[in-house]
Amino acid sequence: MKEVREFYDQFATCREHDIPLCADACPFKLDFLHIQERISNKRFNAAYKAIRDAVTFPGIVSEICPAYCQKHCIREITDEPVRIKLLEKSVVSLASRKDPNSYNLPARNVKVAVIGGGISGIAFALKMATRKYDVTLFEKSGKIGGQLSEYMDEASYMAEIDLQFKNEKYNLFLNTEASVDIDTGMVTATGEHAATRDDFDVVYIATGEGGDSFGVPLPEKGDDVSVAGGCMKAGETGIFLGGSLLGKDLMFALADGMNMASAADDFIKAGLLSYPVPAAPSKCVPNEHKLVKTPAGETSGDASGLSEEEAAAEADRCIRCQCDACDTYCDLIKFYKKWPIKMRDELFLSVKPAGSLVHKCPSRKYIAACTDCKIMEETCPENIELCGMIKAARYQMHQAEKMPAAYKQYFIRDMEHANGTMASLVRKAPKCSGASSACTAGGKEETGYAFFPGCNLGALDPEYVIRPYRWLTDNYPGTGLLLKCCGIPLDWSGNEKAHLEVLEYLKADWEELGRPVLVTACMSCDRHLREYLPEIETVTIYELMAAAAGEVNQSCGASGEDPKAGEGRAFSIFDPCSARGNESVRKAVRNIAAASHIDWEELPEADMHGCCGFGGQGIMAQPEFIDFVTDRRASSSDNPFIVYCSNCRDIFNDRGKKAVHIFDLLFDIDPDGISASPGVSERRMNRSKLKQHLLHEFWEEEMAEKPETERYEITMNPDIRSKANKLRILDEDICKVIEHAETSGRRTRNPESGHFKAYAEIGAITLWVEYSVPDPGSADHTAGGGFREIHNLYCHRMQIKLEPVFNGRKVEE
Amino acid sequence: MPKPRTKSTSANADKPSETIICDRCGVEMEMIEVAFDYLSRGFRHKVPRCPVCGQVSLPEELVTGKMADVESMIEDK
Repeated sequence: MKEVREFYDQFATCREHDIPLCADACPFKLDFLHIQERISNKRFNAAYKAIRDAVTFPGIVSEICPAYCQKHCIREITDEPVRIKLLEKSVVSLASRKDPNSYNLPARNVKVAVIGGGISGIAFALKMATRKYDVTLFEKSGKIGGQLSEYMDEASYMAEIDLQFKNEKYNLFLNTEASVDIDTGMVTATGEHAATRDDFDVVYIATGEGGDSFGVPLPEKGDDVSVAGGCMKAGETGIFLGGSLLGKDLMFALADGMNMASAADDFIKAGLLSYPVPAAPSKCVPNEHKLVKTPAGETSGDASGLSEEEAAAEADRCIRCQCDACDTYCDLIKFYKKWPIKMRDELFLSVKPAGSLVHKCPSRKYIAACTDCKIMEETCPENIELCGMIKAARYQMHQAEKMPAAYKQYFIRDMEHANGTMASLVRKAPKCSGASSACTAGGKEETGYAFFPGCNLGALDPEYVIRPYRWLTDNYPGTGLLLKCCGIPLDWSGNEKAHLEVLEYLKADWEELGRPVLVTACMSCDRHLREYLPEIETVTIYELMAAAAGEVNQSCGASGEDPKAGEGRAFSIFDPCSARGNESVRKAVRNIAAASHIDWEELPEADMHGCCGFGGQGIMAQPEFIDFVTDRRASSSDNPFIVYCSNCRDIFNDRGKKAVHIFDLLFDIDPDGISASPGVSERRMNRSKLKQHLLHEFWEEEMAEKPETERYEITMNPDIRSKANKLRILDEDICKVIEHAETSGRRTRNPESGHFKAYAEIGAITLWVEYSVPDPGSADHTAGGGFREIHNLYCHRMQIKLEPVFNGRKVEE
Repeated sequence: MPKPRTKSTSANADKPSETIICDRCGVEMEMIEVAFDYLSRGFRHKVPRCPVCGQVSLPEELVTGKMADVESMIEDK
């Protein structure tokens, strides 16, 4: 079993934080998702502020940017890209508060020179001036802006520059040629305003296309970031290059000015000299399923941009690209609103040994609640094994005794019952009695199969096992029976030792039967056996039935059922998560349905969905999560479901979604799906009945084991019965509480109602029962038995710690 | 009859919300502290107890309300 830490590194490639492709293409890495949200909510001032933070001069960029982003918009597949540039322009015109922030910071005694007053130099100057450095800009021509004049009119861009410089001061020398000496770092300026030679702390050279770099080595062109260049230290001066001088187009030159300002700031503050490294390309995987055709609306024709409503509508066309396969498919991530990296960190923390200094365990609930459906791993573009990590955590948490025993108690006790003498049955094939057609024909050879229906099918209704087994012995004579639990509850609880033990027992039973091929009917058992006991060959009963498709109807008809019971209904076939990707069985079920003229259709997402909600221990650990999962599955179609895993049938019926097992239709057990799931005590009785029936019908034996009769006969109204089932409280537990109360005398009495109340610890839970004795004078009662009426029950997981001595008396438990 | 071990000062906290009689001692329950333990965390709370033998009787509101909340919180920690 792998340990949690072995999964840790896989998450390095998680794309959760990868920016959308539009932002990746943007010279400014403008996070459009941020702005989209604001525009969508018509918060144009906030949107303007976010754009200005990213691009420095929104009034210029929104006019002349060639919109690299739009070329990468996924909407192109469906209609047309989101018009991001138009939205930016609209924000600039719709925003009412555009004044830059004023920061009341002291001036810093650091001198910064900018050579070149193009857009890159201006951006650098603004960013440094905002940081309150003493900035001096040298421009050889008579105006600043450089190439900008080729793209927009001077008054507009000058207005924008003035606006953004409103709160900042810098020294501007026009018509001044400046140069820097790369040995000393001295800047020499000659022109109409100045003829100086000065020492600066930082020099930014943005002399434009074909400009002079004064001997500072250029950074290698292309994306190779490892090559030095683009910056150097001369004396005590840091010299940086940027902008069109490096062959960058206008928008990248502007972005350069901003980025180099950050690099220069690092140099001033920490003496670090490094050329900014471009980020690795984003690997964001857009979710194309979210694309719904919504063409861009007609613009109002106003040159300044869209109206408020139009802008909001246009922003809403964005599907907010983010790699969200896990959030889309994995119920756990969706419900807990924790993305894989967060879960990884919590899992890592949770599995620390119990005695360690870190004793936090934030992932306890979802480790137990995970249904182990494995869809996250299958859909993650990076194949990150979060499911495997959770499972590993479950085993480690069990080892460290950090899991509440109450989570697993019901499941383990249920498994123990299924594997106990009252329910389990391991038998070779019944001898040919001559009753079945196959035997009288005498033509069929023994097949080397054994039916492994699992523990839940017979608990739901013994007929789910009896009738298919009848079919198997008719069609595949020699089919034995292995009626036991596959041990999956121990896998869900993370108890490795006990799990291996149960598997060993199962293997021994299988060997005793002569190593037959196990015919499974529950897909969870099938997957579990294949995973942990690969030496056992399995085949599903559905595959056998499909192979004998012609015989299905005859066999069903033989015991008087209507083979076309499902005809005329519209069903959707719900593939259990444990059959996902198992094409053979999925196809078999569809073939059987078709051969039996069942009217069915596929679910919209076919088998790409998680568990029905039965898997794991969520029912105990976080019932709300199971409600969420079941509702999510149930809502994928209004049709009733046809399921072929007993667990799905169980949980859907329990939560009010109409679902029939395919056996219901084929063997006419409950074709309308009307019978409710049996209660917890009834399930145990069903298992015993099943064993009794099978022994009687197939082996002509009577069951030797007799059920233990309870001391009390308990009654309760349906509401209390349903409460007991919900809390997974067995009748025997209730009897135990009453017995404890009446033998120890530890109970209380309510003088008004005459009801008694008592409690007892049932394993990890404490059960409280309020009851009355309907006929206290009866002979039964005096003998310590008889009827008891249950009025209420409830339980908790905390333990009551009674003092050994209370009031000077020894306390009896 | 021995004196109750713990006496509460508050009149309201002294009385359980309903009259409950300890079946063994035949006396009325009072609000007295008892210790609880869950996932290696211990705490004390006043609950209806028999002042004589110390028997506890937890009302459903407490079990499904506050206690369930605390259990859930501890599981999340």
